[in-house]
Amino acid sequence: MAHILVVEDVVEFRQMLTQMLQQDGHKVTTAGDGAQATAMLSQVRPDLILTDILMPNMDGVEFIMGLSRSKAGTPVIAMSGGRRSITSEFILDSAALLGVKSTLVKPFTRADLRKAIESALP
Amino acid sequence: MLQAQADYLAATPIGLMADQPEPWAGSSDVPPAPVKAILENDIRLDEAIDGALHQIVADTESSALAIIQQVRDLHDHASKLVEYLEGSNLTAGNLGKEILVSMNHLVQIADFMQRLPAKMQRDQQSVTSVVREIKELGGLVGDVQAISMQSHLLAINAAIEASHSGSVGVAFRVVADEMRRLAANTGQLATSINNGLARARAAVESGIAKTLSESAQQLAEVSIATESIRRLRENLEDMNQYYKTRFAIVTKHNEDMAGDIAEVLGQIQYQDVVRQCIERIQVAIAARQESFRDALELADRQGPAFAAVPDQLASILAGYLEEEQKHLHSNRSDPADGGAVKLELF
Repeated sequence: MAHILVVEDVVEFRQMLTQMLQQDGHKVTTAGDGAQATAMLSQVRPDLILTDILMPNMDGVEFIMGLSRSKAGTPVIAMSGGRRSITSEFILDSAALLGVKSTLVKPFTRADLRKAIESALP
Repeated sequence: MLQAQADYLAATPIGLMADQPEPWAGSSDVPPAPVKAILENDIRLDEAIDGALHQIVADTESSALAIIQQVRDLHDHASKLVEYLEGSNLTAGNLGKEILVSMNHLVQIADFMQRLPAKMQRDQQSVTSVVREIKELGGLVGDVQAISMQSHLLAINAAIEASHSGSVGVAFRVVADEMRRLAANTGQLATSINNGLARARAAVESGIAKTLSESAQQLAEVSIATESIRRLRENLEDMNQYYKTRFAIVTKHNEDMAGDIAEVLGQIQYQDVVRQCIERIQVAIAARQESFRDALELADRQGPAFAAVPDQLASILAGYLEEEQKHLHSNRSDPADGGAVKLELF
């Protein structure tokens, strides 16, 4: 089982993800946006990062860029449901080009989440 | 190849010296000792040069393959970026359309704002008209008051004349006529007042109705404008997110490309190491040719100078190997590093 950092601004969704991951036996650390997650990474070394893209303060794109530059090598799963005139396809295609291991379109099932984690973990 | 060359350098004696005892010394069917020594040293120098050339060929091939792979990676990165940018243009197009719709609504609101002063002027004219009608009615009210006063005086006169009953029938007729005329005037005035009031009421009602109608339309337009401004704000946020994402992708691509180009430059720069290696070989070969020319001139005499030629060759070999040893540390690939050729800056 892995240590997973969940980065999600919507509290309810963050709690739901945490519960699902803990039920699968993972250790979970959470952050409300990219800035919080970046600060946390100086203290914790997760095996995997599960991040939303559209968030206030530092969004997922900026957060993933920072991870890429740090050369930490932690695998990342990006998730998004799109927003108004920006489709989830555009957002997740962008995340894929930034080097994320896997992408999830919201809403997704527990099976989708498990599959993404399996493919992302080394 | 690196290990082979190192082993070679470690095992090779620094020249075969002319004063070493030769196994064929004193025999008449073996070459003279200096000639044998010259040939031995020459072979050793050739072997060293051959080893270096093999190393150069291997390194050059490795470097060329790495350059090809990195250029291929660059091409793949560039193709992915082009594909991404083409795809994301659709999103930009949709965003642009939505912004255009919101802008059109705002243009309608701007038109309304332009028309607003004229509308206010019309409303003011309606109010002025109503005020004028009311003023005129005020004047008519004065006339009615005057008539009332005159009727009152006539009534007094009639009362006085009544006191002279019997002989003043004519006078009563005059008073009655006057009273009738006053009554007629009063009737006309009442009609005028009614008409004036009707006009004032109509003007007010018309103005109110028009204002209400226009207000309803304006309220609808304001409602649309509010929604348009909200959408426009959202569109601007989306546009900001969209271009931020695109710039992030382009930046990441450029960073990757810069890294790949630095690797390619490193590989290309490594060719200078090859050039230096070849130059060292050229120096050794030139020195050897010089020694051979000396040997040819001295061969007939077989004197001490000729006997020293092997030492010269040994010295050339030692010098060459020493120079090569100095450059082994930096420009060869290290198997522990995945075989990649390291960058050396000059």
